[in-house]
Amino acid sequence: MGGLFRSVRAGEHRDTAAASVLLFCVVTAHALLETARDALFLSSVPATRLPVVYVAIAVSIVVLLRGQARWIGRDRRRTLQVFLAAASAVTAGFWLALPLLGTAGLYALYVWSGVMATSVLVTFWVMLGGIFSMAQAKRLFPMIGVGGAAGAILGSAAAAGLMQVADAPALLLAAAGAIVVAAFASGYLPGTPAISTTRMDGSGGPAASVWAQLRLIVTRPYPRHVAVLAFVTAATVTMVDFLFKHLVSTALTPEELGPFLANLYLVLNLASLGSQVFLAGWITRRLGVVGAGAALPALLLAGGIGVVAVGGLAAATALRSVDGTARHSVHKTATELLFVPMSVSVRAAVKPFVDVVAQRGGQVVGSVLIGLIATLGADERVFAAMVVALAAVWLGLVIALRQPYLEVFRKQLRYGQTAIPTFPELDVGNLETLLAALDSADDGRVIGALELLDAQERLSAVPSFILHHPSERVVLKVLELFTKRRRVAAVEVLRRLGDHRSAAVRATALGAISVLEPDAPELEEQFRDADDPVFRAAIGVHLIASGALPRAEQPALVAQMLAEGGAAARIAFADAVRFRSAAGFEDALLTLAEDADVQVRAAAARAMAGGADPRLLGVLFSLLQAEVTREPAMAALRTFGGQAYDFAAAALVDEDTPRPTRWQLPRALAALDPARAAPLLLGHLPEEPDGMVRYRIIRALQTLVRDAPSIELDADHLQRAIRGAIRRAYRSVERMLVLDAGAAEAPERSTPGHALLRAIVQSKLDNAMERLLRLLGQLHPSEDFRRIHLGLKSDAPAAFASALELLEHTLQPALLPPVLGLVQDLEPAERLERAGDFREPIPHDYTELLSSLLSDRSLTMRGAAIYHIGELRLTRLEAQVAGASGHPDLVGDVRRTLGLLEAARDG
Amino acid sequence: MTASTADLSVHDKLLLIRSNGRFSSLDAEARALLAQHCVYRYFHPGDYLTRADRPLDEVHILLEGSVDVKREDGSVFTLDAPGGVGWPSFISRRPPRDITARTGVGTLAFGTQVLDDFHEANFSLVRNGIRLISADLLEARGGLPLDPGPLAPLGPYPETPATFVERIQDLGRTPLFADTSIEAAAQLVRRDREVRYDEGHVLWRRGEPADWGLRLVWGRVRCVGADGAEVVVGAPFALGSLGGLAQRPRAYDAIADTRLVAYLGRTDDLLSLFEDYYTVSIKFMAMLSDLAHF
Repeated sequence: MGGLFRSVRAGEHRDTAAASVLLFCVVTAHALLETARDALFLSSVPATRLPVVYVAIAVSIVVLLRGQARWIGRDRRRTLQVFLAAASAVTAGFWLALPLLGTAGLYALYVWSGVMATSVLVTFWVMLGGIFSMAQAKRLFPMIGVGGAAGAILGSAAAAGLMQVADAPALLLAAAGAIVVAAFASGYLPGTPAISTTRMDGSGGPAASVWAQLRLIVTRPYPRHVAVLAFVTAATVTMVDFLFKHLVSTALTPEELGPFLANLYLVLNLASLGSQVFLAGWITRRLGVVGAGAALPALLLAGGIGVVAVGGLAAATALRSVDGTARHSVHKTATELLFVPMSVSVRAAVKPFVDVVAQRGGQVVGSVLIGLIATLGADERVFAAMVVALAAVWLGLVIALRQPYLEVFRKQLRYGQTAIPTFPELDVGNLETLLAALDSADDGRVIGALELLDAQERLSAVPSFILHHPSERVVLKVLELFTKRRRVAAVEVLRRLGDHRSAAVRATALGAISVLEPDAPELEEQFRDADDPVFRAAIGVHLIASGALPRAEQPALVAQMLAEGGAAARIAFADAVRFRSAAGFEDALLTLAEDADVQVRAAAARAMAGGADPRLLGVLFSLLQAEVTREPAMAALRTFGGQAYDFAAAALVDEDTPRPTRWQLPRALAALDPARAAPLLLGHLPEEPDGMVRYRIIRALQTLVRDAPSIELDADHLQRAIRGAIRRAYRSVERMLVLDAGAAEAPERSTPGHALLRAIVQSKLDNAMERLLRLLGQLHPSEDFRRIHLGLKSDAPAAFASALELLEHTLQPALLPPVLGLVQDLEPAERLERAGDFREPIPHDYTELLSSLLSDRSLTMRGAAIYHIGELRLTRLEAQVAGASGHPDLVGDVRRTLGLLEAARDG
Repeated sequence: MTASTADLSVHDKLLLIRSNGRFSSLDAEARALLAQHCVYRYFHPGDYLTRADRPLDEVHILLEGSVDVKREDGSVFTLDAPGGVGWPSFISRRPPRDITARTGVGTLAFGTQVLDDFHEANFSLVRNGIRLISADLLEARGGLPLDPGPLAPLGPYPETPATFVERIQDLGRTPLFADTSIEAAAQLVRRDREVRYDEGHVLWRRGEPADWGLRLVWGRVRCVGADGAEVVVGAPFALGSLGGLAQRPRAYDAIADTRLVAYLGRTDDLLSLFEDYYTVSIKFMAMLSDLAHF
């Protein structure tokens, strides 16, 4: 019970109390009305007429629906007040008129009790759905429901008491009084804006028709499912109610009926209150909305089987007791929660339809079934068998509800927008498009088409005369691709490029010829005659690669070529090396990889492709750091295959690898060999000391799985990494609490250093949360955890609540409380309570915490702690500060703080 | 907006993207992503591409034709193909402007929601955005840094370097990091290094590669453009990074006008930081976009 009260947070008390009191009064009135109704009706009319009144109730409420839909679109608080005032008057009117109306009046009273309860409660719950978010509803509806359960008890107790001193009609007057009090209580609820019930997109328009509502429900899976569920639920409980009333009216005399029913309802309502107080919230939190919704059909299924097996009033009473205990507590809470995720306009349309048409339709069908079975003269076991069948269908529908229910939240978070597409295969139409693009005046378009044709191995479709293209860029690209694809047939056209105006084209064409049709003397002649350094650099490489030059002369020639002509010649040299895929130029490439010009370094990286010298690997991995050299370096590394992968794997676990290079390794490993990288990266993740490398490992794993969905990450390793992230998050939460408490305790601690420390801790917490959600996304690939993360960070209550709901339905029980503890808006103590085993011992004394931060793995944290210790003149930490000067970046801060501490010590 | 949509194949769209200079720094995956999630739209003269009173659902790249862009002050300027439409508003999260087709206009249209998703999944898109806005900003300023106007008198020369924590605090207070990530600021501090130059030192010459920049701590720098125009900037100005981000060479000579204390940061380090801290990169783009267009 205490838990229920604690679930109401600051700012929610007034609304919750008003809603609870209102429900209390309405249900009190209904309990009085129900007892009077049953006692009067069953003592004068046979139970077999009950189906008739069930149908009459359904028809009356459907007639009421259109008016209600129009009313509910207005100010709902005012609507409720008007309903309640009218209900009170009508109920009091029955007290006056019943003696005059005879049996017809009893039928009318039965129908009225159903109409009154439905219209008031529909408006009430729709209004609450607009006041509270899903997260609030899950906390507060059980508490509000307590009001209903307590009202049922008071109503039943009052009915039992009044029946001792007065006759049944007197209960009607008491009910009217309770409704008047409810009308007053409704004035304390917040007003809610008027909404449209016609245009289901919320855009406004004329009032809704039943058909408009029906169309909406039929076209949307979730409302449709909820409506069908309500229909089957109503049919089942109608059958249960009839079975019980049929047996009780035949087993007891008319005089015994009133007191028996009043007492039974009192007991059931007490049980319902207990269930509401002690079970509803707990079951909803533990099993979720869908799980809680399955409780009643499961119990009725078992109870129905019991009646079939045993028979008799006792078994039927037990069945009715299950219904009476759970339906208005656990089940009511779960059912109302089903409407909360719907948008305001959809809920306003669906809720009345479900409560009126679907439920009453279910009652009608249940009644018709009862009538049919009764006509056949079947005994109570047949009715019980029907209860079993209907409860089984109901249970199945609840289980099947899970997916459409979650889909509502996914839609709220705009799932499914980020699918990374695979590029379509090239069909004939597209081939024509690409070939047509070769005629474009736009060089980029032509090169794009060439690259696409090459990527899809359709370069043979490109005619050789494209080598006469006016653009140098295009011709160089064609030369590169033709050489790569060994297009020997193009050699004749290549020869005609010998007098091309561009030295780069002439050199590359000559290089291409030397690859496709090697002719060393021709190269030697061209080299000797060349005076353009760019041309000479390129031809020189081809000459060396052709083997025409003695080995001893090669180093001098290379040195000469690299020295003359500037960056353009060095790039031409590197490009020619790449063209030949030739070994023997490694030393020159290592030199070029350290060139001051980044474009030369990029050309060197490109030329390293296809090399075999392991010295190139270290250089290539370091070239991954710069934007311009990253892509060519990665492409070159791919050509080293397993050798590059092994190098990177060893460098990742080697803490002596320079940090900037280590940061590149996760992505490189994932690109080089995804299948081997997945277990390596995941296994290494918990051991990795550098937070940035951990982050990049997680990102690399995400990319890797996205690009190769067949790769499955080891669940145990993932769990370990997830637990690590949760522990780190709680460590930050706890540190934050100690810092805040310390500053509150001694305001002089609120210094710039304190603010910095706090900001760093917050940043660590944000990082841990991001990584945790990314890892959870890997563990549950069917959910879009990026969307969930965005929802959790959102200021929009609906998005936040949707994210929370999806988390609750996705996470395994062991992870749920600690993860929810991190994302929900909780008091500090409550948050830490959820941490469970994920809390690590940290110092709770402010100074001790600062002392512990001096040995934190984060350099930034250590620096901020050193700085803050100086601000606070904490001389007793002087020795620890002196010992924390291990990193060159911290030398200045250590010196500053030690100076301050020394000054403080000396007075 | 009464645009009509034509059916272009994915390969057609890919080639259009591939040949458009505004997408030149995208990697192959990013180009494929965009090609599969854009549509060709045709607007008749007078049609709205974006409206100031409507949320921005799509941004465009003009393939043909020209549009009229209405500024906040009511003035109108014309933008021709292959310009972008709506991108600054999208990046800075500001309401769009009224932009109407001046002639018949063909565009590639990209959903803003999809772009948001792709930005986080593929850094190359963010990088391309930074490049484009930086280039726009450079052009708007004629290649020179923004003239800061009269400079405050120089304080005492900082003989000793700031400590690591002091530098984090300084950087953490800047608009880029104040409400994004202090850890990102710390990362940048670790990557930057303090430099001191004498008066008259040539920091760089026009045409040199712009792969590093300076955040001035003390002193002044004289910047001289190709046409001889000059701007003098002083601490805490940051200069030189925009060219690198725009992938353009230095557009002006930079000479120390006094003794100089500054932090030198490499463009690659800044980009690497943006890659790891998505919110910082988006904030940076929004800030640049504000400077360039509003």
